[in-house]
Amino acid sequence: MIEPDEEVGKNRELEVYLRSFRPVVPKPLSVTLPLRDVRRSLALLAASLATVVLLVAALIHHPWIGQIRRYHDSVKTDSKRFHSEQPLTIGAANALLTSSNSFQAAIDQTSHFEGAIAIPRDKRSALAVLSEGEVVQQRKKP
Amino acid sequence: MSDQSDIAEIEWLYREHGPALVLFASAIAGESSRAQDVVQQVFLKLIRDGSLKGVTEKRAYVFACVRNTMLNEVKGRWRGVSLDPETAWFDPPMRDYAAESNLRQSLIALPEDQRQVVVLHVWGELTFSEIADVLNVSPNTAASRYRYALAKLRDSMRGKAETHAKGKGEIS
Repeated sequence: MIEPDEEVGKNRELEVYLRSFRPVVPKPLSVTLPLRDVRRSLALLAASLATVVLLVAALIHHPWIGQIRRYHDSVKTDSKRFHSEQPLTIGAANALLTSSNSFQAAIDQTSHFEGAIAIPRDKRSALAVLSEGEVVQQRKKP
Repeated sequence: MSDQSDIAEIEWLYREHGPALVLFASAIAGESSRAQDVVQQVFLKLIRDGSLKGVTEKRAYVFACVRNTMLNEVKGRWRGVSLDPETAWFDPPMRDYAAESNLRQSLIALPEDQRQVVVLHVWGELTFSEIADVLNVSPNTAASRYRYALAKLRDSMRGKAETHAKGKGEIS
């Protein structure tokens, strides 16, 4: 039979022994940001994304974006209409002068024609031959 | 929602009593990983709801919260504590892991009501009056459960230690 005092003493010893075992330290409290703040941040992010999307949509459909697009389209069409792979001939120049509104417009449109055709090395252009003949004739003159 | 000073106090409570709270939850559930999750859940709820305002016995209150949450968690799917042999509940003195296992098994072998009182008094450092509040019993009942539990622990641990020593002797 254990006396009460003896039991108390034994219990104290056992308590001291038990307390020498330290409970394992848990992992730190993982979420410091309260859930409500997380929700608020997500709502803000969604609102910003929606604003950006609306801005982009508004810019795309803005009238002056349409004007710029129409201008580019007209330039493309014009360049297709006037562009010719043939060199400018007298006939083409006459046609331009008759179809254009003004002389200046006709001159502008000549820029869409290709330059002179490259002449092979062993050949000479008719203009060159004629101009040489003219020089010879001038030399023969006293 | 708690303000900054409340959050600081709750975090301090977690740092100070987290180990004993996880041990207490483990003593109810039998495994420490679920116990850790439950303790974290309790503290995050305290931060979110600001439910520590107006509480006088904060230490006893968080132990009661952990107990209630743990019991709700295991309700319906848990019948008795099963020992998880992989996870230590304690950092043993002198890295004596055999003694740690001995103590853990002896605690698991106790009846649940006695095991909770031992953990609350020895490692939670709660008085019998506080334990009575946590467990909804009288202080005398808490004290008597504690005495019974210590007697059983002493016998159980002595028996296991002797068996361990004999086993070692036979091997050597």
